[in-house]
Parts: sequence; structure tokens; C-alpha cells
Amino acid sequence: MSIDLHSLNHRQQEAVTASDKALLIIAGPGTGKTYTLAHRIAYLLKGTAEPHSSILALTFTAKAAQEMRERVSQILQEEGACEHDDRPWIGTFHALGLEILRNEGKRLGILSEFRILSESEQIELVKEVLSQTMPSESLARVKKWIRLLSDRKNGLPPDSSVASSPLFELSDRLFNCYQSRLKDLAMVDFDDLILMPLTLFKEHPDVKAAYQNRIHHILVDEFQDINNLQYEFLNELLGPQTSLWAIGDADQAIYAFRGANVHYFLRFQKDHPSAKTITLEYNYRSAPPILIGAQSVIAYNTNRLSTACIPTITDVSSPITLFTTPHEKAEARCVVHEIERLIGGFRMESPVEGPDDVGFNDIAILYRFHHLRSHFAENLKQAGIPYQLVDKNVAGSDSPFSNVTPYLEILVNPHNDPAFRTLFPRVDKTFSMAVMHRLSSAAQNKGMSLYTLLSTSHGKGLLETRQEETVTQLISLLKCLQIHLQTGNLKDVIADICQGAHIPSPFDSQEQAGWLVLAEPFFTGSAAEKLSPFLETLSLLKEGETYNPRAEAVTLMTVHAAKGLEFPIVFMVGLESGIFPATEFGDTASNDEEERRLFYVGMTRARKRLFLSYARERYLFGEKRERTPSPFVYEVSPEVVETCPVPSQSEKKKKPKSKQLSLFSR
Amino acid sequence: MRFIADLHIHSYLSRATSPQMNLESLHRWAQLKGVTVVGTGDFTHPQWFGELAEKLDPAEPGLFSLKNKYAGDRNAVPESCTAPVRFILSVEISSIYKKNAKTRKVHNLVFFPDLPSAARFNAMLQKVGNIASDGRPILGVDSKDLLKMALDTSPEAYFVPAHIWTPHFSVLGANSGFDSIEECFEELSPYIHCGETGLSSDPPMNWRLSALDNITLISNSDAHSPDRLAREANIFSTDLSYAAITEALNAPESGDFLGTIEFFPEEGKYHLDGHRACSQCLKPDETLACNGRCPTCGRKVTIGVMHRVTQLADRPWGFLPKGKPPFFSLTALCEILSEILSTGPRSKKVQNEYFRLLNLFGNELYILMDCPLNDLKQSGLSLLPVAIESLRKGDVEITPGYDGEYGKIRTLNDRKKQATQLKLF
Repeated sequence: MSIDLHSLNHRQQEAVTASDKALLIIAGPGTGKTYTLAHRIAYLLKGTAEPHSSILALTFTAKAAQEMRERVSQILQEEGACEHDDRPWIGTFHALGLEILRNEGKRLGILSEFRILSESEQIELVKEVLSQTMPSESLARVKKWIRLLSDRKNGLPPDSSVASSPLFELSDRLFNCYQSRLKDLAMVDFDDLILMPLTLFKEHPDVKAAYQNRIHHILVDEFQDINNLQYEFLNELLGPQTSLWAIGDADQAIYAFRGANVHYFLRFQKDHPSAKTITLEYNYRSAPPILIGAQSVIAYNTNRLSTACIPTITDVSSPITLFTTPHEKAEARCVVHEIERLIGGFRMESPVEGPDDVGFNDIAILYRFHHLRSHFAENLKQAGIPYQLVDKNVAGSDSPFSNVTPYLEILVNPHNDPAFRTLFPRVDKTFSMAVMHRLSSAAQNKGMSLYTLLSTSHGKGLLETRQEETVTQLISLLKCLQIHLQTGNLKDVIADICQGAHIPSPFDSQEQAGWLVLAEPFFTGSAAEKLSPFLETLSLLKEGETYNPRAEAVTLMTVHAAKGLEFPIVFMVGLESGIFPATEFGDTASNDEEERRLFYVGMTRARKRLFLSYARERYLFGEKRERTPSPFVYEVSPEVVETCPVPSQSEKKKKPKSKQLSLFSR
Repeated sequence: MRFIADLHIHSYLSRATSPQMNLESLHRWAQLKGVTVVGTGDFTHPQWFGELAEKLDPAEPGLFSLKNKYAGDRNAVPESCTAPVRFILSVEISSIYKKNAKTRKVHNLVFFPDLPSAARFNAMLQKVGNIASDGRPILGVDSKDLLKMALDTSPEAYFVPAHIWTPHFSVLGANSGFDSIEECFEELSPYIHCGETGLSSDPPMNWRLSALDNITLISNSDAHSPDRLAREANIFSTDLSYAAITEALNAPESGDFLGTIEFFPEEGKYHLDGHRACSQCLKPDETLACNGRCPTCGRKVTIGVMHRVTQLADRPWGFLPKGKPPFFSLTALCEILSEILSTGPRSKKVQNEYFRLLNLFGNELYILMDCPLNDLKQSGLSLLPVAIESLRKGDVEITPGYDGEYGKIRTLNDRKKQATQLKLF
């Protein structure tokens, strides 16, 4: 029995039906990567007598996993196959790690009820650990220490800026302290979800063998994003009989800052010398000028595997438009004006004849950093154009749930000290670092959690009267919520938290509708049951996963978040030297080749129209700075670019018709 | 009682509207025009909602009156025109969304009988979109979902698709609309009792679609400045209340809805097809005969409203369904004065005459529709009764609009002018 392969091209068919033990598929943007992967899974499912759960498909985001499940079941439905309980396992590396730990973690002495440390809790925990020796570390420094801990867990060399610090020698002690606190709290951090299963496999070969025997086929999506630990984890899962099928595009590797390394893509061939490589070469997404432009940029990279894609879209041929604007406000105005035009003049007063198939959700504005978005959001708001902001930090202030998650975490486990520590300063500003330090030390000396300390008489005398009142109120609110948890659904509990703590409700935010779509499945049924899975889902989220494709709104997101998505119309903005590549933002250790890949990823999100823009002047780091275009802009093949100078308001008044200046006529 | 209602206008808080679109001016101009019930427009805009809450008093059930202290200078309205004015809470919402793989842009009108319901509706919209930057908000909400939200807010909510034929922004529009009301509203279609014909279509055009037989055709000005009030409007004979108005529209057979006041649809600038640059104005069948290309230059012609009606029509031109209320095609009094005085409609001369006539006879719609011609002969303008008589008989000369070129309506021609001159001597 086989599935219908007529909709696939020859290379795709070859990839779907291959029987090789190891296979690497190089799939450039728009070449049908997800489509091919889904067909491969369906093909394996239909062709095998083995249990479906012997197939393991690993993705990098929960969203991609969900999409894959839907596609596979759609293909199977079209084939008339019925669904049953025996399903392939499709999920992220971290979700797999989590499941292994939940099942077998007791072998490592981990409580099966362990919790995943959220980003904000991690900050608090590190602050707590640091407070013994460095009580006044800035947030930026705390984040550096977190990075150091993470790099260490991932087996990476330390970041040079930390390694050169005189305090670096403290890192061993810090690491041990941090680990032992995690154990006390029955928590694991994000890296542990991969690291611990690896340890488990090494220390308990019987567990490893059991998994290896169960899994016959492993498929890996976005293989270029794999990092050191994940590669090792993958190797451990590979039994003597397991086939490995990996698909990805080395030109789209953009996660070096998470330890991902294009090197593993290249290493695959070394580790599996018999492996065949198939290249999917037909691009079904972008209009030829966009594809030509993007390929002309990526061609400047030397560390490459891929070959050029062949365009198949022939009905659209608008060139790439480059807006050169006097300053960032003019840039935002110009982009929003262009959006109005594209929508076909959405006002009666200006019914410009536009292409009538463009809707708001066909349009994305992509930028290198979140803070570049403010002028665009503001202008869209003024123009009355609906938009959605796709955010990165689950725990960061961007999430509409950021204010309620500490409460929810405490409801799960009142002895979660890091969650308490994130909460106090929000409830009452007088809970300074010093106060928190005093409380934490007192609790540790007595060997109890902050909650026990403060809800009993042990905490007496540590706080001022007003602070004590705050604590009493907070504890009684938590006790109330504990009761609601047993009776209401999660949505009600969250509403109660907002009301009780006087914080804005996450349900009132239209800009972030994507979050609500994500949360919706957890709002039915008992709150007590849905609470933990809800928090777990939030903590496993990665950038871009809050994007809601159904929202009728213009999407604003970083280029990183846009990976894996496509839009008929894309605006890449703020394309200036220093921003893209991000040399002025030293925090992200990146290199030109990686930044160029990111630029390439951004360009190849576009199907029909691509607009690039930069400003000659921008407020950055508190001052007005002169800007020059990103070097990548010059790398776009000039014959597919139309330069469109945007005059400033004052220039406009002076000379209504400005001369066409070409950026490339240097 | 018999009264006239204009249910769709915009406040100064909508884009491209006159700063004069405030409650005080609306109150004054409603009297000058002869309108009793005026839509407030824009109630979703927080600032306008604030003004409504502050300046209006509840009057008859579901209707509001302007507080005395805001009703202003009595002299601003000639005694001949003074009349009570009522407001009804209304808003137009622009929904832009994808459905069945096409981008749809549909404008809809929503009415509520009380401020708390409107406030609840606003709160709901605020969660899904931005209602503070434009009096006519643009939302990425499916029209059907919008209807559901209105009905969920209050069972008394009233929902009317606006100017249903406008090419770019309407439920049946050629460029971004649907082919039927049902395609847009699906199982909620039974809640759609009315459709606004818009300036560019009149009832006979709509009667060509049997699909619209159960839809009551209403007409409103969609005014962006106060002097445009009531250029299209509705005539009722019922109690003055929200419920009586909506019931009259839901059951036109009751006879409580006396019909509409209409533009000549040919006056609209997208009435017929054509290519403006080559002065080619084409009727729908002519457009089809030349494959949609301009006979002069061969470029694609712009498709007008008449063409779209022809596309969807299942009845011949001139079909007269039974039991439909009448309609009255009018043009503005200032336009007629402009013809008589051979000067621009916004000129001082025309404006002075306009107010002189209102002082003499009463409000504008009375002059255009009801004032005995013998009375008008006392106006000192010998051509006025001639022009008005022609208008009432529909004896006007029409140059239809196309491809952005406005159409022209003339109530007088040289023959009529000469005949009048002869009678004088």
C-alpha cells in the first residue's frame, strides 16, 4: 500500500519513498519542505506493519509540530485511512525530553511532579544565588550569568565577555548552587530537558535501549537549527536499526545564539558516510525577482551547502522596492502608506484601485530587533489598521500573561521561591533587592520556603508594618485563588487574579490575540487540571509561536520569528548598517554569515511583493544618529530592485517632484 | 405621525468629514432639511460616545434629544423650519477580512436603543480592534461575526449592510463583496431585514434581483458635512420610537414605511462603465460587446454599479415587484438654484436664496416634495416652480457618471426656460 504521490515533484518523491538508512534532504525556502516531510510520515505510516508510535518526528517549535500533525492526518484522510490511537510521536526536542523525564526521571532521582523554570523565575533564582557574593548585579549582568550557565550545560565555551571577567572563577560555585537550588525546588530549567535525558541514557543503558527498540524511524525538521546537545541526544536515540531522515537548509541556520550550529548540518555527512543527499530545487513560493534578489545576497556566504533554487512562480514579476527615507518616522509613514495603497484604498475617500486580493493578514513587517517596531505600530494604530505584535519572551513583559504567571506558578507549588521573588516587587515596590535578600537568607537559614516563612510567625520582624500588610493580603488572595482553582475554569481563575491583584486583564489585548488562541484550549474544564499543562505550554514556547495566522491583521515580528512562515507581501525595515548585521547590539554574538542568512530568511518569506527600507537618521541609544544602508542591501542584485526615495515632509513642500535617485548609481 | 429619518451620517471624528459635524450643527441642519430622526453616527468612537452621553437626553423609547442648553441659538433656524429633532444611536463599521480566499471589504450599520448597550458593544469591539482612531472603525472582523456580536450585545440591535453596491466597500460590491447576502451572513442572514441602496443605486435597480425581495431598501445620506444631510432619506408613518422604526422596516407590508428619498443614481460617479481619459461612457451590454476594453484605446474599462447589478440580476430592466413602497428621486435645492441663477451651488448668491426660500416656505424637503407649486410662484423666482415641477415629475435631463466622472442632473433646459420667459411677457 502506498500513498498518492502525484502532487510531488521527482526529487520530493525520491525523498518521500527513500529506503536509505540515513538521508539528508536540502530544502531551500519555498521548496515544499513541510509538504515533503508530511508526505514522508504518511508514506511510512501507510507502508508499515509496525506500530505507528515507532515513528518519531522532531520539530523545533510546538507550532510546527501541531502543523505537522494536522497535515499528516489530512493526507491520511484523503487516502481514506482511518485514524486510531496508535499515532506517530510528533513534537519538539524539548517536549520529547520532557516526556522521557516524566516517565523515567525517577531513575535520576527527579520527582515526577517537577516543574519547568520559567524565564522570569530563572532570573530570580540566579539573583538569589548571586546575592551571596554579588548582591547588586544589574539585570543585563544577571542575563549574562544565565547565558554562562546555559552555555555550560550545552557544552559550549563561555562567552568571552564573561570569561574575561575577574568573577569568572566564581562560576563553578554559582553553577553548583544553582543546580542544588533547582533540585530543592523540584524544578528543571529549559536546558535540562535535553541534558537530563542524555544523562539518563548514559547512566541507564536499559532505558536507552528501550527507546531505541521502540523507535524505528526518526525524522528531523529544520535540521540546520540543531545544537550540540540536541545532536548528541539524537545520536543516542538512533539504534542500530533506526533510520534517520533529516530535512533542512543550511542557508537558513539563524540560531547560533541558542547554540545551534550550521556545522552539524555539515557533520551529518561525516557521521553517516553512506547517507544520500537529495536537494529539492524548485521554489513554489516567491516571485522570480524576490528569489533572484535573495539568492544574490546569500551567494556572498562562503560556508554553504545549498545550490540555487529554480523559480516556478511566473505570474508575478514586480521588482523588489527599496524605500530610502530621511528618518525613522518617515520610514514608518511610508510603509503604512504603502500598506493602505496595497489594500486597495480601504477608505471611501481614497478608493485607490489596488489588487483586490490583498487583506491585512497577507502583510508582514519584519525587523531585526523588537524595539524597531514602535513607529510602525504607532502609525498603523493612527491609520486604524489592525495589526498583531508577535512577541518573543514568554515570561517577558511582552506577554499578556506575564503578570499572572507568577501567581499561577505559586498556585501549582506555593514553595516556588523564584516565583515569589518575581511577584513581590510587582506587588509592592518597597520590596527591594535588599529586602528580598533578607527574606531569602532568613528562609534558607530556617530551611523553609518563602511561603512558609511568610505565612507563619517565622517571618515576624523582618518587614515593615506596611510590607507585612502586603504579605498578609497576598497570602489571603492566594488562599482564595486556591479555592477558586478547584471550582472554576482557568479563564475565571486568571480573571480573579487580575481583579484581586489590580492588574490589567490579558483578555483585553487585541494586539496579542495570538496568545489567546494559544491559551483557549486550556480554558475549558477544571482549572486545577489545566493549570500545569497551560504553564508547561507557555514555558516550552519559542519565538514566533504566538503568531495567529487567522487574525485579520498586519503582522509585526522579528525576522527570527518569521522563520517558517510566508506572506504574500513583506516589508523588511530598518535595514541599516549596525542593525543588520547587528554589530551595534553587542549582546548577540553573531557573525556576518549568520546575519546574512537571517537577511536571506527575511527576504524569502515574501511571495509576491518585497519591500526593503532604511532611514538615513534614527534615534538609537538615546541620540540621533546618522545611518548608512545595510551592506546586505547593496548585495541585492540591482536589476531586480526599484529604488524609491521618500522625501521628508519639508522636502516635499519644497519640490513636489523629486528626482529619481538610484542607490546603485554610485 | 409622518416623519423623515436619515440614519447614516458621520461625525467630525471620522476621516474626511467637516469639522461642523457636531451634534449642534446636526440638530440645526436636520430642521433646515426637514429631518426628524438623525443617526448619531460613530458611537464607537470614545470621544463621540462621551459627547453623546453628555449632550443627549433620552426622549421617546430608544431615541434621544439634544439637551436644551446645547440646542443653541433659536435664530439659527428660521421659524418656518423649527421642529423637534431626535437622534438614534448608529455607527458604520468597515470590516476587512478574508473569506473563501478573497479579501472582503464590507461596510455595515449598527444601531442600538440605549447607551449601555452601545457601551457594551464598544467594549467588545475594543478587544478585537482599534476603535479610537476613526469614527468609522476598520476592523478585521467578518461581517457575520460582527452581526453576531451585535446580537449578543442586545436582542434589540439592528444591523444593516451599508450602500450595498459600492464597488470597493459593500456586501454586493463588484471588487470586494459577495454574490449574495447569504454568502456573507450565512445562517444569520434572516437577521438582515434591510439594505441601504447607496447613492449610486435606486429601488428599480435593486428590484431586478429576486434575492432582494425580502430586503427592505432604505436610503441615507452618509453625510460628511451637515448640508449633505437627507440627500437620501427614509419616510415613516409610525410612532416616534426605536422599536416602531425597526418594526416598520421589518414589516414593510404594514405600510408604516412610506418609502425613500433618492438620488438619481446616474449622478453617482461610478454609475456606468467607461474610460474617462477617452470620454468613453459605456452601458453594461456595450462593455460586454467590446470585451471590457475601451473602444478608443483598448485599455480595460472601469466597471460601474449598473454593471454589477446586471451581473447579479435575474429579472429584466423595468421589472416592478408587488407591494414595494414608492421612492422619490430628488436633487438638492442648491443645485436647482444654481441652474436658475446660473452660478455655482456653493456661491453666496445661491446660499442667500436658499435661506430666503426656507424662511418663506419651510424646510428643504417640503419645498422639493410637498410645497404647492402655486405657493412657489410667490417666490420671486419664476423658474423655481418650473424646475420643481419637472423634478417631481421626473422630467429631468440626465448625463450618467462613469469612471470617476460625476453624472449631471438638469431640471431645466433652454426650452423650459424660454417657455417661462414667454409666459412672463
